[in-house]
Amino acid sequence: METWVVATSLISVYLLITLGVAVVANRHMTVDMEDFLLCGRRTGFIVLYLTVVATYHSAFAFLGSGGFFFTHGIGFWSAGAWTLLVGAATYVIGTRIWALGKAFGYITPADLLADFYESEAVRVAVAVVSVLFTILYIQVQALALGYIMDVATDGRVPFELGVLIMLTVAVVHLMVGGLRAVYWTDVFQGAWMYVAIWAGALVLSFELFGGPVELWQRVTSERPDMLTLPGPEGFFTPGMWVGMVLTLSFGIIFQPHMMIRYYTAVDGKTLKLLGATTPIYLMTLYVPAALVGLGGALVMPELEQADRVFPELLFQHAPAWLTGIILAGAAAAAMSTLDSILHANMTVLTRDVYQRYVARGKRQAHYVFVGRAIVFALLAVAFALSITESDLLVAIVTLSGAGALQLMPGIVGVCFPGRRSLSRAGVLAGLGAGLLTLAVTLPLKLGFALPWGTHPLGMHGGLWGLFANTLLAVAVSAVTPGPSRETLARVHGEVERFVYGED
Amino acid sequence: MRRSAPPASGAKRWLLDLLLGSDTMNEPPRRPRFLPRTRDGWIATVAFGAVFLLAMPPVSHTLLNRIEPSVFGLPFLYLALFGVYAALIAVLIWAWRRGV
Repeated sequence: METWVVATSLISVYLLITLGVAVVANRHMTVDMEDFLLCGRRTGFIVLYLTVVATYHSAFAFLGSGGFFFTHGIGFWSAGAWTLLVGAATYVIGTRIWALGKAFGYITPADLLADFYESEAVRVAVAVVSVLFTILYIQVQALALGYIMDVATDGRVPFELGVLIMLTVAVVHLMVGGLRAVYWTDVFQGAWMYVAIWAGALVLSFELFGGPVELWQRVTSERPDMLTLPGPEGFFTPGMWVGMVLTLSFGIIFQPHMMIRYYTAVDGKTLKLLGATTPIYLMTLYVPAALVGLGGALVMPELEQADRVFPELLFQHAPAWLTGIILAGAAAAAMSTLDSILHANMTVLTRDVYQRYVARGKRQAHYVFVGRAIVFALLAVAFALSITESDLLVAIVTLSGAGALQLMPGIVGVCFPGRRSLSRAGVLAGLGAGLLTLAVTLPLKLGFALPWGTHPLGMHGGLWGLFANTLLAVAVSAVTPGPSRETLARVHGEVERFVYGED
Repeated sequence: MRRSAPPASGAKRWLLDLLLGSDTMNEPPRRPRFLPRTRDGWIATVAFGAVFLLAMPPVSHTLLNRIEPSVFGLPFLYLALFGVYAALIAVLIWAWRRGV
């Protein structure tokens, strides 16, 4: 049987399973916003673990990381460092976010910040940043799904149609089953993608080089420029290294689809265990990605689209059944993140915008219905974005992370009590400065060249943004009033009780 | 006779308050919330920070930035960073087991 038939069949089976899970999840759902949006805050360790890792590792880990190793060499192994920061941040900050969410009923990141800084302007700003930058993430997943369908069907399903089919399945699955369906499918998607990328990388290593060790030896002898920093194109300068580590750790965990996962944990201890152990999965997924990318650089150096290195190698050098399983795993990686982002954007738009500014005081069922309608609208946005021109998947994800990273000063101000707090004016000014700095330091295709270029002085634009943000936030907060004593006592008192068990 | 340091004022005091202060609830004791309060907390924080710095510039771009000596053909930079990451995971798990 031809490879494309096997691959397309397996992806179809995967999509049917996804829809089946949504139907089952729907039967467990109650007409309640907290259940629809947060799975009732009762998620245990195994489900939470797999949904967090499957959501964190999206198409950019499965396809984009191979592409980055292919282009820039071993510098992308810095990825391990940001997965460790994700674990540590979950351990320290994620647990505080969970405790505050449970105590005060927060559902979105904006709930947390607006409550503490006592400002609707902060709510709107955070909601806008949350949605704006995660839409870039939707673009990444949709693009990847289009690639996968294109490659799996050997060009028989056009890119645009492939994107539309996959997006429709993701949207229907989310509308029917809510967050519970997302979590349940993430469990098998998380397991599938991990096995798939390891199996694919090992099979390719043995098929092409005689094993992973022989692959490394060939890279050492033929492309030593790939094995040192800053890499063959000089990309991984110290500033870029640090910038990517911060952007792809804090920048991703402060995105709404990750922060919402913190709210859903059944207890704080579960979340701490999650923080301690997620780096095992997250970091080791980049080991096979290195084999794929560096191996690809040896055997198909002429490949034009680096993100396609993994599927192209599979089609040319792996058995049909394995190619099908792995491409379905790649689809799972993209879908698991896509549905989570769609869910998060739906949550932010329903809770922070519609429920608060458009229609207050309606029944829960009304908001659930509106949430589903918003998901449908997001389908159109995602499709439109996916057929626009794109850069490397990882580059888009980095842009997305750089935006969410600007929420960091405000969130740290909430989660770490101090004698003086940042003020609402400080947080808003900092956020504005951070976003403005991103606009002039990141490759945003402004239509004209900036005199200092992108990533000035070899330091990532996200880091420049964070510096400007923090400086202005602290400076403005020094001369403007902070949150009221009552709010400080209530919110920081809760943090104190949770972290230190004291009143 | 020893004299205690004069209280900081202005921006300096504001920054010190931001980093170290704790009287938002106007309650004693005033203890810092950015710093660990237990021995295990200190060990975990210092160990994680110190090991993490090994994966960051300038160490990553100087000391570790080489192909040789390789082990089983794996380049030194790759192996060294793998070791650092594994150690960091061990620190996190140790912290969890100790209830930090």
